[in-house]
Amino acid sequence: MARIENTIRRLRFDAGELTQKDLAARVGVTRQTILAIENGRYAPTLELAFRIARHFGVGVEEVFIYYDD
Amino acid sequence: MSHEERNVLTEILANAVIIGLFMWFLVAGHAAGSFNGPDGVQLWAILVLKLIGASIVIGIVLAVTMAIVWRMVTGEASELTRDERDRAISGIGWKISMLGSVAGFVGGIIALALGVEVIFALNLMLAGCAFGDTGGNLAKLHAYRRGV
Repeated sequence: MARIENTIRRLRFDAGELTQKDLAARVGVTRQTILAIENGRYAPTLELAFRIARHFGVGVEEVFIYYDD
Repeated sequence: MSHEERNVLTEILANAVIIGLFMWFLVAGHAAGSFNGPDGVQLWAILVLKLIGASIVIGIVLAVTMAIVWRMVTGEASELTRDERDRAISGIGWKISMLGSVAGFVGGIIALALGVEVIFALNLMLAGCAFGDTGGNLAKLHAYRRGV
């Protein structure tokens, strides 16, 4: 079964402990959505995935890692 | 808890109150024989329209009360942003809600075909909408808690 993991928590840490609330405001979603994505309870749309990646200045595949088990 | 998730909880609460009100008035009306006369269907429709009006008011009052209580308890202002996750979850709820409404409608038609009273069939359709809406809200709450 395929699964998607993400590195948002680490990227936030690397960006000077950027809060979920700040990241949410910058990519245009609620804090709860960022929390749900970090915990793997919500798979974002491609558009939001790109917005998050661009915010951190990295590629989408550095934020979201797809495992085809 | 997001503003939208809290709204879902409020809607579940409002639905419970509204379904209770509907049942109370419709059962009481039925027991009193109010719907038995030639204008029974018209009386039923007027009562349902009044209850729909009341349910809108109850929904608004509960939503405002919930927002105020939330602000007082947590000190957090409501985050009014509705984002893509809310829209995805709303879609799930809408599907369940439609399923209930369609089931009620088809059930009502079948009941009429079987020769039951018109009022009973109408109540069945109404119940389909009401319970479909509640089911949709429960599905939304589940999606908010467990993930999409």
